[in-house]
Amino acid sequence: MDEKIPVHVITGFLGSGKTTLLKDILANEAFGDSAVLVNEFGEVGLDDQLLGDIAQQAVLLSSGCVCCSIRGELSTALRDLYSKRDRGEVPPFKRVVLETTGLADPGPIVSTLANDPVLQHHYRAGTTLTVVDAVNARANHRSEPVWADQVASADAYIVSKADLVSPDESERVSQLVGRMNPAARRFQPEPGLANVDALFSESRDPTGFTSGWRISTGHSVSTGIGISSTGHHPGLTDVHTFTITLPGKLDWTCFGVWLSLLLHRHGRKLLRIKGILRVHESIQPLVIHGVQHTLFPPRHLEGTIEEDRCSQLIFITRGIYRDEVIHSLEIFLSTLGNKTATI
Amino acid sequence: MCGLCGALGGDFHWTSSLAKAGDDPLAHRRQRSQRIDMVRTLLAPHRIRLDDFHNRSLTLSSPTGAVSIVNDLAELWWAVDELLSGRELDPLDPNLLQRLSSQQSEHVNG
Repeated sequence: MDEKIPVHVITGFLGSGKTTLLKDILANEAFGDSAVLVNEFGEVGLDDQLLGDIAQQAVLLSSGCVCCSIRGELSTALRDLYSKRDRGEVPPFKRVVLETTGLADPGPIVSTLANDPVLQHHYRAGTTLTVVDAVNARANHRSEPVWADQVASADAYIVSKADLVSPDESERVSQLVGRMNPAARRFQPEPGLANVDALFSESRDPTGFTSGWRISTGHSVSTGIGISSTGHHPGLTDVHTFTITLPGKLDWTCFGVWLSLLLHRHGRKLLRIKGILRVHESIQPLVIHGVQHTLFPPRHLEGTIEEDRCSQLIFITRGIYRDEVIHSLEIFLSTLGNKTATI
Repeated sequence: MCGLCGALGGDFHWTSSLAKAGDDPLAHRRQRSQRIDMVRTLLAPHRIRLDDFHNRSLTLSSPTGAVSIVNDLAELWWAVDELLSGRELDPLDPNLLQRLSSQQSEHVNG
């Protein structure tokens, strides 16, 4: 991992339990080297942990954690926080944990981190952890589009209030999230958050593909692009999850033109893209992932893989359909792609 | 970026980051050239011209004489939107895909 400070995001719908989780984090000494950004100190209830003010809108807690309130824009808060760190006004935190409001779409946060000309040199996007309320998940799934945004953006998720529902219902909620976002890992907190170190652990492969990278057994169309899984979630205003596979090696340059135009035109509907690509331009496979308009710089996958492994891409979309994506990519690769490359 | 000439511009877009990490020092230039050719094919039906400016920036020119200087693909698509004045370049548009297929057929059949 590079030396930029990771910004981990805790998101989740209203009443999901984000603040409860955040309080546990703030009290845990394992996060003593963290800065936590909250909207209001009062919401979190820090009085019993408070050691004192250390800077404007920043307090030091007994765990060693620095807690700051956000006034106005997130980009301003992160810049100010870094400046304070640079001047020694706050301890040299190694990570930032940011709690969103219950109705927040995490997409703009990711975009801010990736595109702000100052922030991108000091910070990088870390793990997005989504808290899913077991009691209300299926109702939110039917009626709250922002819930879909939050689940789609998750790298990891916690099912909260599992003790208030049956084990079967808790499992159904987990399966619901898993179908929507198959690459998100479920975090099962131990009592007292004893396994808190794993809360924001970051895999080198954000897709979660490598441990079980599958070769497609789905049907193929003319250029061999296939489908290995698909799911339509009718309760979520037309959210679709599908995985497409591409045999052989890909023309990265052509793929980049296609995907950049797709993101530009339809970014708001592309809730999440994750994939591992075998490309002509690189010996090592590439890991790509993005949230809405933002695609992060691709990373090389460490190690080697079998020659016959296919490239795979997961899409979580709203109102964009699997067949039109496949058809579009087929046409771009076959008409614009490097004619000397073989697919 | 120099606002007058764009000579100090740079392409930091994710589509270009692969070549920069590669072992072949010419890979960046080769992929840039290929990328420009691909975008030209997309813009040709709209008579928008795309030129490489000193291998650092790109200039877009419309039939009406409007010119935009951009650094990377992200900026380019926004500039194309402005030059198209309400029309959109959409990779999911069946008409665009049909045009690409037709152009390819014409190219193959001479």
